[in-house]
Amino acid sequence: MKLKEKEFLDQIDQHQNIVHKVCRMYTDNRDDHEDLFQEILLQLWQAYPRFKGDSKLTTWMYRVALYTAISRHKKKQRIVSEGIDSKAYEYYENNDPYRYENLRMAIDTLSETDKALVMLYLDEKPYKEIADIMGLTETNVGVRLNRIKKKLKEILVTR
Amino acid sequence: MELDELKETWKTSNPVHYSRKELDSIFEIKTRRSLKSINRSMLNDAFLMVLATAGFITITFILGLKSRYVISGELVLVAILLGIHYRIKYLTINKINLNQNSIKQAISLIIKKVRVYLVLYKILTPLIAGGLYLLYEANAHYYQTGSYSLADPVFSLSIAAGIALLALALTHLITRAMYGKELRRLRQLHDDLSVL
Repeated sequence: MKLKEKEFLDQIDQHQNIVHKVCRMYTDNRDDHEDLFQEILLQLWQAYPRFKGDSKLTTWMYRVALYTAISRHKKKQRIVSEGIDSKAYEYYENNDPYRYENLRMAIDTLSETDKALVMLYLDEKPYKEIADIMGLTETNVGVRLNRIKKKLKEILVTR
Repeated sequence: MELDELKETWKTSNPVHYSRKELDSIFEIKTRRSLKSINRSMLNDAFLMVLATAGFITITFILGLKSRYVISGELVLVAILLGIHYRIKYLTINKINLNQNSIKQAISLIIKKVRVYLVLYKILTPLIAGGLYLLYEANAHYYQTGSYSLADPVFSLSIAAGIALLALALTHLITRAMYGKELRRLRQLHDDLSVL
Protein backbone atom coordinates (compact mmCIF):
# COMPACT_ATOMS: atom_id res chain seq x y z
CA MET A 1 0.00 0.00 0.00
CA LYS A 2 1.32 3.41 -0.97
CA LEU A 3 2.09 6.04 1.65
CA LYS A 4 -0.66 8.35 0.39
CA GLU A 5 -3.23 5.53 0.59
CA LYS A 6 -2.12 4.62 4.09
CA GLU A 7 -2.35 8.24 5.18
CA PHE A 8 -5.83 8.52 3.66
CA LEU A 9 -7.04 5.33 5.32
CA ASP A 10 -5.60 6.42 8.68
CA GLN A 11 -7.67 9.59 8.44
CA ILE A 12 -10.80 7.72 7.37
CA ASP A 13 -10.33 5.18 10.14
CA GLN A 14 -10.04 7.95 12.68
CA HIS A 15 -13.12 9.82 11.43
CA GLN A 16 -15.23 7.03 9.94
CA ASN A 17 -18.08 7.86 12.30
CA ILE A 18 -18.72 11.02 10.22
CA VAL A 19 -19.36 8.92 7.12
CA HIS A 20 -21.44 6.41 9.09
CA LYS A 21 -23.61 9.16 10.53
CA VAL A 22 -24.30 10.57 7.09
CA CYS A 23 -25.12 7.07 5.82
CA ARG A 24 -27.36 6.58 8.80
CA MET A 25 -29.31 9.76 8.06
CA TYR A 26 -29.81 8.97 4.38
CA THR A 27 -30.38 5.21 4.42
CA ASP A 28 -32.62 2.80 6.27
CA ASN A 29 -30.96 -0.58 5.91
CA ARG A 30 -27.53 -2.15 6.02
CA ASP A 31 -27.18 -2.73 2.27
CA ASP A 32 -27.93 0.88 1.39
CA HIS A 33 -25.71 2.02 4.24
CA GLU A 34 -22.79 -0.01 2.89
CA ASP A 35 -23.43 1.18 -0.67
CA LEU A 36 -23.46 4.81 0.38
CA PHE A 37 -20.38 4.32 2.56
CA GLN A 38 -18.49 2.92 -0.42
CA GLU A 39 -19.69 5.75 -2.65
CA ILE A 40 -18.59 8.36 -0.13
CA LEU A 41 -15.22 6.63 0.34
CA LEU A 42 -14.72 6.73 -3.43
CA GLN A 43 -15.57 10.44 -3.58
CA LEU A 44 -13.30 11.19 -0.61
CA TRP A 45 -10.42 9.31 -2.22
CA GLN A 46 -10.93 11.10 -5.53
CA ALA A 47 -11.05 14.46 -3.78
CA TYR A 48 -8.19 13.74 -1.35
CA PRO A 49 -5.36 14.96 -3.63
CA ARG A 50 -7.14 18.34 -3.82
CA PHE A 51 -7.46 18.62 -0.05
CA LYS A 52 -4.89 21.25 0.89
CA GLY A 53 -5.99 21.91 4.42
CA ASP A 54 -7.90 25.13 3.66
CA SER A 55 -10.63 23.83 5.92
CA LYS A 56 -10.56 21.34 8.79
CA LEU A 57 -10.30 17.73 7.66
CA THR A 58 -13.58 16.91 9.39
CA THR A 59 -15.35 19.88 7.74
CA TRP A 60 -14.13 18.69 4.35
CA MET A 61 -15.26 15.14 5.13
CA TYR A 62 -18.72 16.35 6.15
CA ARG A 63 -18.98 18.36 2.93
CA VAL A 64 -17.96 15.50 0.66
CA ALA A 65 -20.07 12.93 2.52
CA LEU A 66 -23.17 15.14 2.66
CA TYR A 67 -22.81 16.28 -0.93
CA THR A 68 -22.52 12.66 -2.08
CA ALA A 69 -25.57 11.67 -0.05
CA ILE A 70 -27.83 14.55 -1.07
CA SER A 71 -26.88 14.60 -4.73
CA ARG A 72 -27.01 10.90 -5.52
CA HIS A 73 -30.02 9.51 -7.27
CA LYS A 74 -32.10 7.51 -4.90
CA LYS A 75 -32.44 3.91 -5.98
CA LYS A 76 -35.70 3.59 -4.15
CA GLN A 77 -37.93 5.90 -2.20
CA ARG A 78 -39.03 4.93 1.24
CA ILE A 79 -42.76 4.43 1.48
CA VAL A 80 -43.51 6.74 4.34
CA SER A 81 -47.27 6.78 4.05
CA GLU A 82 -47.60 3.02 4.21
CA GLY A 83 -45.23 2.57 7.10
CA ILE A 84 -41.68 1.42 7.16
CA ASP A 85 -40.21 -2.02 6.86
CA SER A 86 -39.61 -2.97 10.46
CA LYS A 87 -36.52 -4.97 9.57
CA ALA A 88 -34.91 -1.81 8.28
CA TYR A 89 -35.42 -0.18 11.65
CA GLU A 90 -34.12 -3.07 13.67
CA TYR A 91 -30.85 -1.88 12.31
CA TYR A 92 -31.10 1.35 14.25
CA GLU A 93 -32.47 -0.21 17.36
CA ASN A 94 -33.47 2.03 20.17
CA ASN A 95 -34.85 1.80 23.67
CA ASP A 96 -38.13 3.24 22.56
CA PRO A 97 -38.49 2.01 18.99
CA TYR A 98 -42.02 3.29 18.45
CA ARG A 99 -41.23 6.91 19.27
CA TYR A 100 -37.89 6.68 17.53
CA GLU A 101 -39.51 5.33 14.38
CA ASN A 102 -42.06 8.10 14.37
CA LEU A 103 -39.37 10.73 14.56
CA ARG A 104 -37.34 8.98 11.88
CA MET A 105 -40.41 8.89 9.65
CA ALA A 106 -40.93 12.59 10.27
CA ILE A 107 -37.28 13.32 9.43
CA ASP A 108 -37.73 11.33 6.24
CA THR A 109 -40.30 13.82 5.03
CA LEU A 110 -37.73 16.62 5.14
CA SER A 111 -35.82 17.76 2.08
CA GLU A 112 -32.33 16.35 1.52
CA THR A 113 -30.71 19.62 2.58
CA ASP A 114 -32.83 19.89 5.73
CA LYS A 115 -31.81 16.34 6.62
CA ALA A 116 -28.19 17.46 6.36
CA LEU A 117 -28.92 20.30 8.79
CA VAL A 118 -30.63 17.89 11.19
CA MET A 119 -27.66 15.54 11.04
CA LEU A 120 -25.18 18.29 11.81
CA TYR A 121 -27.44 19.56 14.59
CA LEU A 122 -27.69 16.07 16.12
CA ASP A 123 -23.91 15.89 15.91
CA GLU A 124 -23.85 19.05 18.04
CA LYS A 125 -21.88 21.04 15.53
CA PRO A 126 -21.77 24.78 16.28
CA TYR A 127 -23.89 26.96 13.98
CA LYS A 128 -20.72 28.50 12.55
CA GLU A 129 -19.43 25.10 11.39
CA ILE A 130 -22.85 24.08 10.05
CA ALA A 131 -22.94 27.34 8.10
CA ASP A 132 -19.41 26.72 6.82
CA ILE A 133 -20.21 23.20 5.65
CA MET A 134 -23.52 24.01 3.99
CA GLY A 135 -22.80 27.51 2.67
CA LEU A 136 -25.42 29.31 4.76
CA THR A 137 -25.18 32.19 7.20
CA GLU A 138 -25.28 31.42 10.92
CA THR A 139 -28.59 33.25 11.22
CA ASN A 140 -29.98 31.23 8.37
CA VAL A 141 -28.91 28.01 10.09
CA GLY A 142 -30.72 29.04 13.29
CA VAL A 143 -33.88 30.07 11.48
CA ARG A 144 -33.97 26.91 9.41
CA LEU A 145 -33.36 24.62 12.37
CA ASN A 146 -36.17 26.27 14.32
CA ARG A 147 -38.44 25.83 11.35
CA ILE A 148 -37.42 22.19 11.00
CA LYS A 149 -38.09 21.51 14.70
CA LYS A 150 -41.50 23.12 14.39
CA LYS A 151 -42.29 21.11 11.29
CA LEU A 152 -41.23 17.83 12.93
CA LYS A 153 -43.37 18.61 15.96
CA GLU A 154 -46.39 19.28 13.75
CA ILE A 155 -45.87 16.02 11.88
CA LEU A 156 -45.54 14.05 15.11
CA VAL A 157 -48.70 15.64 16.56
CA THR A 158 -50.76 14.70 13.52
CA ARG A 159 -49.57 11.07 13.54
CA MET B 1 -39.65 12.23 21.11
CA GLU B 2 -38.34 15.57 19.94
CA LEU B 3 -35.26 16.40 17.94
CA ASP B 4 -33.28 17.42 21.02
CA GLU B 5 -34.11 14.14 22.72
CA LEU B 6 -32.78 12.28 19.69
CA LYS B 7 -29.37 13.86 20.24
CA GLU B 8 -28.52 11.41 23.02
CA THR B 9 -29.68 8.39 21.03
CA TRP B 10 -27.78 9.68 18.03
CA LYS B 11 -24.59 10.05 20.02
CA THR B 12 -24.75 6.79 21.91
CA SER B 13 -26.01 4.37 19.29
CA ASN B 14 -23.43 3.78 16.62
CA PRO B 15 -24.51 0.58 14.90
CA VAL B 16 -21.70 0.33 12.38
CA HIS B 17 -17.97 0.63 12.79
CA TYR B 18 -15.53 -1.00 10.43
CA SER B 19 -12.29 -2.46 11.72
CA ARG B 20 -9.12 -1.26 10.03
CA LYS B 21 -8.92 -4.59 8.21
CA GLU B 22 -12.46 -4.20 6.86
CA LEU B 23 -11.75 -0.60 5.87
CA ASP B 24 -8.58 -1.62 4.02
CA SER B 25 -10.48 -4.33 2.22
CA ILE B 26 -13.37 -1.99 1.24
CA PHE B 27 -10.83 0.52 -0.03
CA GLU B 28 -8.87 -2.06 -1.99
CA ILE B 29 -11.85 -3.76 -3.60
CA LYS B 30 -14.51 -1.10 -3.87
CA THR B 31 -12.50 2.09 -4.16
CA ARG B 32 -9.08 1.51 -5.68
CA ARG B 33 -10.02 -1.28 -8.07
CA SER B 34 -13.28 0.28 -9.22
CA LEU B 35 -11.61 3.67 -9.71
CA LYS B 36 -8.83 2.03 -11.69
CA SER B 37 -11.33 0.21 -13.84
CA ILE B 38 -13.43 3.39 -14.40
CA ASN B 39 -10.32 5.40 -15.34
CA ARG B 40 -9.01 2.61 -17.55
CA SER B 41 -12.31 2.24 -19.38
CA MET B 42 -12.61 6.03 -19.85
CA LEU B 43 -9.05 6.20 -21.21
CA ASN B 44 -9.71 3.23 -23.50
CA ASP B 45 -12.88 4.91 -24.79
CA ALA B 46 -11.04 8.17 -25.42
CA PHE B 47 -8.15 6.37 -27.11
CA LEU B 48 -10.48 4.32 -29.31
CA MET B 49 -12.45 7.44 -30.23
CA VAL B 50 -9.30 9.33 -31.31
CA LEU B 51 -8.00 6.26 -33.14
CA ALA B 52 -11.30 5.63 -34.95
CA THR B 53 -11.69 9.31 -35.90
CA ALA B 54 -8.12 9.53 -37.19
CA GLY B 55 -8.48 6.18 -38.98
CA PHE B 56 -11.69 7.11 -40.77
CA ILE B 57 -10.36 10.51 -41.76
CA THR B 58 -7.17 8.92 -43.16
CA ILE B 59 -9.23 6.40 -45.15
CA THR B 60 -11.38 9.14 -46.72
CA PHE B 61 -8.18 10.93 -47.83
CA ILE B 62 -6.46 7.76 -49.06
CA LEU B 63 -9.52 6.85 -51.12
CA GLY B 64 -9.66 10.43 -52.37
CA LEU B 65 -13.37 10.70 -51.63
CA LYS B 66 -14.93 13.83 -53.03
CA SER B 67 -16.70 14.58 -49.79
CA ARG B 68 -13.72 13.74 -47.56
CA TYR B 69 -13.71 17.17 -45.93
CA VAL B 70 -17.38 16.89 -45.06
CA ILE B 71 -17.04 13.34 -43.72
CA SER B 72 -13.91 14.28 -41.77
CA GLY B 73 -15.65 17.38 -40.41
CA GLU B 74 -18.59 15.29 -39.24
CA LEU B 75 -16.26 12.83 -37.54
CA VAL B 76 -14.43 15.66 -35.80
CA LEU B 77 -17.79 17.14 -34.75
CA VAL B 78 -18.84 13.85 -33.16
CA ALA B 79 -15.46 13.61 -31.40
CA ILE B 80 -15.78 17.18 -30.06
CA LEU B 81 -19.30 16.54 -28.78
CA LEU B 82 -18.21 13.32 -27.10
CA GLY B 83 -15.29 15.22 -25.57
CA ILE B 84 -17.64 17.83 -24.10
CA HIS B 85 -19.92 15.07 -22.86
CA TYR B 86 -16.97 13.36 -21.13
CA ARG B 87 -15.97 16.68 -19.59
CA ILE B 88 -19.47 17.33 -18.21
CA LYS B 89 -20.15 13.83 -16.95
CA TYR B 90 -16.86 12.85 -15.38
CA LEU B 91 -14.91 15.99 -14.69
CA THR B 92 -17.61 18.47 -13.78
CA ILE B 93 -20.58 16.77 -12.19
CA ASN B 94 -18.64 14.01 -10.43
CA LYS B 95 -15.56 15.90 -9.34
CA ILE B 96 -16.10 18.94 -7.23
CA ASN B 97 -13.78 20.91 -5.03
CA LEU B 98 -15.18 20.89 -1.52
CA ASN B 99 -11.86 21.88 -0.02
CA GLN B 100 -12.42 25.61 -0.32
CA ASN B 101 -16.11 25.63 -1.18
CA SER B 102 -19.16 24.93 0.91
CA ILE B 103 -21.81 22.56 -0.47
CA LYS B 104 -23.89 25.48 -1.78
CA GLN B 105 -20.91 27.17 -3.46
CA ALA B 106 -19.80 23.87 -4.99
CA ILE B 107 -23.28 23.21 -6.42
CA SER B 108 -23.40 26.74 -7.78
CA LEU B 109 -20.00 26.28 -9.47
CA ILE B 110 -21.06 22.99 -11.03
CA ILE B 111 -24.27 24.51 -12.40
CA LYS B 112 -22.31 27.43 -13.88
CA LYS B 113 -19.71 25.14 -15.49
CA VAL B 114 -22.31 22.78 -16.96
CA ARG B 115 -24.20 25.78 -18.36
CA VAL B 116 -21.03 27.00 -20.10
CA TYR B 117 -20.53 23.55 -21.65
CA LEU B 118 -24.16 23.45 -22.76
CA VAL B 119 -23.75 26.84 -24.44
CA LEU B 120 -20.65 25.45 -26.16
CA TYR B 121 -22.73 22.48 -27.36
CA LYS B 122 -25.43 24.79 -28.61
CA ILE B 123 -23.08 27.14 -30.44
CA LEU B 124 -20.65 24.58 -31.86
CA THR B 125 -23.13 22.03 -33.18
CA PRO B 126 -25.27 24.35 -35.36
CA LEU B 127 -22.20 26.28 -36.55
CA ILE B 128 -20.31 23.17 -37.57
CA ALA B 129 -23.40 21.51 -39.07
CA GLY B 130 -24.19 24.61 -41.20
CA GLY B 131 -20.51 25.05 -42.08
CA LEU B 132 -20.19 21.45 -43.22
CA TYR B 133 -23.16 21.87 -45.54
CA LEU B 134 -21.56 24.95 -47.11
CA LEU B 135 -18.30 23.02 -47.48
CA TYR B 136 -20.17 20.21 -49.20
CA GLU B 137 -21.84 22.67 -51.60
CA ALA B 138 -18.54 24.37 -52.41
CA ASN B 139 -16.91 20.97 -53.01
CA ALA B 140 -19.74 19.86 -55.29
CA HIS B 141 -19.46 23.10 -57.25
CA TYR B 142 -15.68 22.66 -57.52
CA TYR B 143 -16.03 19.18 -59.03
CA GLN B 144 -18.61 20.46 -61.53
CA THR B 145 -17.00 23.74 -62.60
CA GLY B 146 -13.48 23.81 -61.17
CA SER B 147 -14.33 26.89 -59.13
CA TYR B 148 -14.31 26.63 -55.35
CA SER B 149 -17.41 28.70 -54.56
CA LEU B 150 -21.13 28.40 -53.97
CA ALA B 151 -23.33 27.99 -57.04
CA ASP B 152 -26.23 29.88 -55.53
CA PRO B 153 -24.96 31.63 -52.36
CA VAL B 154 -28.38 32.85 -51.17
CA PHE B 155 -29.98 29.43 -51.55
CA SER B 156 -27.00 27.63 -49.94
CA LEU B 157 -26.87 30.07 -47.03
CA SER B 158 -30.62 29.65 -46.46
CA ILE B 159 -30.28 25.88 -46.38
CA ALA B 160 -27.23 26.17 -44.09
CA ALA B 161 -29.24 28.41 -41.77
CA GLY B 162 -32.08 25.86 -41.78
CA ILE B 163 -29.65 23.06 -40.97
CA ALA B 164 -28.12 25.16 -38.18
CA LEU B 165 -31.58 25.83 -36.71
CA LEU B 166 -32.48 22.15 -36.90
CA ALA B 167 -29.15 21.24 -35.28
CA LEU B 168 -29.82 23.81 -32.53
CA ALA B 169 -33.27 22.36 -31.84
CA LEU B 170 -31.91 18.81 -31.78
CA THR B 171 -28.97 19.79 -29.57
CA HIS B 172 -31.37 21.49 -27.18
CA LEU B 173 -33.54 18.37 -26.96
CA ILE B 174 -30.61 15.97 -26.64
CA THR B 175 -28.77 18.00 -23.99
CA ARG B 176 -32.02 18.31 -22.05
CA ALA B 177 -32.45 14.55 -22.13
CA MET B 178 -28.82 13.94 -21.21
CA TYR B 179 -28.24 16.48 -18.46
CA GLY B 180 -31.68 17.92 -17.71
CA LYS B 181 -32.45 15.62 -14.81
CA GLU B 182 -29.11 16.13 -13.11
CA LEU B 183 -29.20 19.88 -13.64
CA ARG B 184 -32.75 20.12 -12.29
CA ARG B 185 -31.68 18.18 -9.21
CA LEU B 186 -28.67 20.42 -8.65
CA ARG B 187 -30.81 23.53 -9.11
CA GLN B 188 -33.35 22.17 -6.66
CA LEU B 189 -30.61 21.57 -4.08
CA HIS B 190 -29.21 25.04 -4.68
CA ASP B 191 -32.66 26.61 -4.33
CA ASP B 192 -33.27 24.63 -1.14
CA LEU B 193 -30.11 26.11 0.31
CA SER B 194 -30.95 29.62 -0.90
CA VAL B 195 -34.43 29.88 0.58
CA LEU B 196 -34.51 31.34 4.06
